[in-house]
Amino acid sequence: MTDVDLRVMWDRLVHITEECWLTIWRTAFSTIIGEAQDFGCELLDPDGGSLAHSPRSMPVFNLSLPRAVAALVARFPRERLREGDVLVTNDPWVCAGHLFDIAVVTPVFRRGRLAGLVGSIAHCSDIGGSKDPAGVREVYEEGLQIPPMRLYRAGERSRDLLELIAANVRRPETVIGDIQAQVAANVVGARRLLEFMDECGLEDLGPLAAEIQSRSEAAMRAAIAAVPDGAYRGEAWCDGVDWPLRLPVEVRVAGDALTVDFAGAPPQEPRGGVNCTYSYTAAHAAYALKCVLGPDLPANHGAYRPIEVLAPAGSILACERPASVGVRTRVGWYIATAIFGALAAALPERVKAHTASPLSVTAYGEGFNDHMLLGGGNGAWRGGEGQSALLFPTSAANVAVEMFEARTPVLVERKRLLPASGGAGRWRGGQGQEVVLRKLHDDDAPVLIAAHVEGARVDVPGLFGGAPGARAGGWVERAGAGRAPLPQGGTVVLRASDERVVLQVGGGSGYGT
Amino acid sequence: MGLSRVAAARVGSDIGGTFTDFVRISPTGEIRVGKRLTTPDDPARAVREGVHELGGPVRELVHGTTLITNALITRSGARTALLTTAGFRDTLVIGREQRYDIYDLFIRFPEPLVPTELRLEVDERIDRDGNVVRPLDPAQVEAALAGLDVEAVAICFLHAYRNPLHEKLAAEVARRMGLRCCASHEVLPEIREFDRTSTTVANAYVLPLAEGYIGRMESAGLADRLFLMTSSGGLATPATARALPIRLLESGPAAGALAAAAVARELGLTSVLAFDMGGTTAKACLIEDGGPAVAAGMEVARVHRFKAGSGLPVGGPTVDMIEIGAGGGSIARLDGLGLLRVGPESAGATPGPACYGRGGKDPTVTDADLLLGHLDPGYFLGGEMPLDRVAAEAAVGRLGCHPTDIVRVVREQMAAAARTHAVERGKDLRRCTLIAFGGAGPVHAVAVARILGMPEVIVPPLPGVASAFGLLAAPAAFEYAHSLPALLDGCDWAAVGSLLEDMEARGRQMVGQDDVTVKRRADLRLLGQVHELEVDVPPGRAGRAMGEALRKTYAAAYVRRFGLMPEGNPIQVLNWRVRVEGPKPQMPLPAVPNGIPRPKGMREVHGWGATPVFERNTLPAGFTLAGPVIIEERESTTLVGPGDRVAVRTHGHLQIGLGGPRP
Repeated sequence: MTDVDLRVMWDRLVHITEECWLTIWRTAFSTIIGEAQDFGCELLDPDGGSLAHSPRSMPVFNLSLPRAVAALVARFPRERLREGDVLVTNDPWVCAGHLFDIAVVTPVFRRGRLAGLVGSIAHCSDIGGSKDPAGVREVYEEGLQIPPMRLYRAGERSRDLLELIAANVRRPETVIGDIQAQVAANVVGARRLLEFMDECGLEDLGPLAAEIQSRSEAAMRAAIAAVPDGAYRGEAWCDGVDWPLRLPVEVRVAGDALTVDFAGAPPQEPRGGVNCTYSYTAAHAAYALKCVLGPDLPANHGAYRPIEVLAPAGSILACERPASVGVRTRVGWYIATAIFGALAAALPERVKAHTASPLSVTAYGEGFNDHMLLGGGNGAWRGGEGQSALLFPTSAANVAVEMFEARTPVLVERKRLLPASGGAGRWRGGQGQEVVLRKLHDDDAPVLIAAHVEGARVDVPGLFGGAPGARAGGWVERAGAGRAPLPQGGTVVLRASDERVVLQVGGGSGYGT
Repeated sequence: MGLSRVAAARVGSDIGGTFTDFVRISPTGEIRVGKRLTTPDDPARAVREGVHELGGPVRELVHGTTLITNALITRSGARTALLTTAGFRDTLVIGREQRYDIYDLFIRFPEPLVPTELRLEVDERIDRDGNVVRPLDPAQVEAALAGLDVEAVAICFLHAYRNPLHEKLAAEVARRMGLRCCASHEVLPEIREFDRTSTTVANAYVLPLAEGYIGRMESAGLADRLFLMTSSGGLATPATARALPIRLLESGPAAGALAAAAVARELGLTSVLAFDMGGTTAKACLIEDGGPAVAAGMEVARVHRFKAGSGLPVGGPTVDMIEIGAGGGSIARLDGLGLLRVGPESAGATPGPACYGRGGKDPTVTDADLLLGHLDPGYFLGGEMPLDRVAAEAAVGRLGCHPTDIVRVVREQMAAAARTHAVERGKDLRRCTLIAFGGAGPVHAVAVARILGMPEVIVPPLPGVASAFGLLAAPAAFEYAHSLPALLDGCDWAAVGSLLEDMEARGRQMVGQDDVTVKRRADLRLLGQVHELEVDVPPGRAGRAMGEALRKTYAAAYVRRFGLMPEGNPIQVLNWRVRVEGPKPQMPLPAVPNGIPRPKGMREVHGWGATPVFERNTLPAGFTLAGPVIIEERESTTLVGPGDRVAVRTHGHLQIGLGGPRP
């Protein structure tokens, strides 16, 4: 295989994943997938190693899908897989860390042999369970668990499983429609992959994968080797459930290998859904490192081989069953902050200060269940002010206010940047934003708003003396009754149009003095 | 007012970044071609001079321009204010909140066209159903605008696509105050506030500029009538263009696509991929049933030219094409893994490829083409620009790769992009013909077609001025769209019928001719989906039969594009569209010589050995040649590989049948 052959075939694989991505995007039923694009698509080799992902894929999904595939293949070994099988799971411990993220994986066969796998993880609009994450103690209360199962068996749809899912979720037509979009994307991907293999005369993706992965690994090792050896320490503070939590990290660089060690992470929380599974923690850690070490390097199994992630079992970063995990982003979105802080000593020009946690808002009621995502102020970096209201560490987009309103009886009174919310510094952090919601009509139909405000109790310092950005916040205003804090867990029921939910996403931290 | 067509001298003029091209067609069908340097200080000057040079009275001047695009890229538009619904003055800067590169921590977005202090809020609100929640007080608009030092005002209120009342009131106030303004319901009456605001602001930003430019063009008296080409390949009158200048954004590329469409019609080709490769970029566009596909919008002034999401979104009908950072000037380099990458960086016109001998040191596609024998160093631009082989060798040598590698990578990149573009639109390129133009298009077209499994390539005459030619191929056309959401099963067919008839009648009136083509399309989705799929509406009266036919068309299109359609979901129809198009102008083509041509020489081509070279303007109609062969003309070179055959069609089109082995 010449270098040029490799370049050409590699680009083709990325194009195939992009087609899968477009299929889900264009056929989705929910705002969280169809507007906010909270999903990702990937191609894997016959051994389940990742090969290529679509450019707009959710980073954490790219990194956790291989783990999900490993679990699926462990349950359905190669010799039992058949053409037309479609596998599914949302197990947070092998997939993306909470039940909303559903992996749908299709093994692709060529002349009767497993040639590769095509799959996606997408955040479904609902998975049943409680709408009040604060009170949740165990994953059982968070919705339907789908262990590794077959959604299709040799081309035959599993009606039983689909009916079970439909009976357990809110707005089942939306959830099932989105799962179908994932299945369709795999159909498109498998078709293109087989055409590609025919054209290139490949029997399976093994040798091509080995080449792509070994080159990517070598490039990542070279990038790590360029970082001076040493143990670099960092930390981040997050709100926690009852009190703020400290997330310590040590990044150890030794030659061309790197270890991220979360030793000292607090124990898992007995309630509140903020626990991260190891699969989720490892994905966030690897994503942050990729951004710092090799933003231009291809992202696949090979690139991540030199990186080891350690987290103590039973800690909030490697929780054990049956811990509650529903809003694990409230902890997990600080992993990048801790790692950037650690690496700032070695690579001060390649990291950025803390980015305020994004906010996910859901409006639910009779006939609707829709999401809105809000980005916070991004951290500043050497030479640049942080971006304002930009989603990170996720690749999602917001939902247009007009789309959100068209699908829910909610009126958005304001959606505006918060001036002066960026942390001070030689370079300022980006601005956060504020959104105000109320019921559109004064009728008897209640509207439930769920908003997982994070960053309301802690100030995360910037880098090299930069100041923290403004905190996040949330409250309810009722005419004549003043302001009441948002209940813990962020779930509130609106009954009249003069009740308002005010939500503020924080500002980014500054860099330098 | 109608746009009728008369047999008279017509001139097409296309302003490009470097050259302004001209094509003049006389009443007798005689074609004259001109090319002169663009005059950036006053682009109308080159047009004026070029039109005069071609001589004779002109009845109709059709004009394409990059002026609007350049104003947005170089930020040379008007000082513009924006009026928004209270609470939403930051919509323009907040945008989609999405990273266009997931691994780049330091991404930047374009500066908004309106600075913070000129984004002004007005206390008003209309809800999703078009009901007034808070009425607008015109006095407040007046107070907001009073004393502002601005040249233009953009107005974008929430849900104005549903109810434009408040925007109309505000626009009235602004106009009464003597301000130039435009409102979002006039510019882009569609849901999603950021895209609509961005488009409305961009339109306001170029209003004064377009007004001045179009005014100068009119007063220059170059022709009895002036038309401007729109991004969707239609013709706009100066009045329309002055009100909606943002619709002129992609006029040049749209004209290129129309030129390819004209060739497709002439040759009776129903499925075509137009392939235009110039110095910096290549563009590909599907042509079906005689016209280019039209997309709902594009992005302009990207921070990263080929990264979607890094620019300013502009909605509105735009010829649906994919642009790839791959042209003759694209630079080859090794990436972080030691693998070859070509483009998107380009050596441009200065310093240009190394072989131009103007100080360029980076190896480019043109350098590789020269070294491989694809180009004649003594016959580039007809010999006006000698190429330096030694410089090309040195540049490619420094990279340590073979020139075939550069050419192969760039061809594969173009093919991959074209394939994705086609597949996303449910099209199988293996049943399409490729029509090649642009300076570098004919050099690489056959190889790209081979990668894509396409059976045939057409290289039309004058491929170097195709866009100017395409300007003259545009029909008068008007398009209307109307929302009428309903389940396909519960459609009020009487209402649909009268809506379709009304849109058609209005279109016919605007086109002002009897001989029109009417195209009807509809946007459908499964109930609850976020996005729609556009399909053709079958001919005939609106009724149950139309519903059944639509259901079938939709299901087939859905499966073709998305692999699998879920069962049992009701189908919803959202919008109905009607396009009324006048007759397409007959396009005369250059005369073709008689006699038996001889090769003007032999050239050593890498991989092919000694290859005969023909001068294109000596090839008579009906003449056929077996590849490998090279056909040269002033602005381009066509490569035909071993195993391929080329035939000269009646009007000088080169028709190349691919028989050579797949790469």
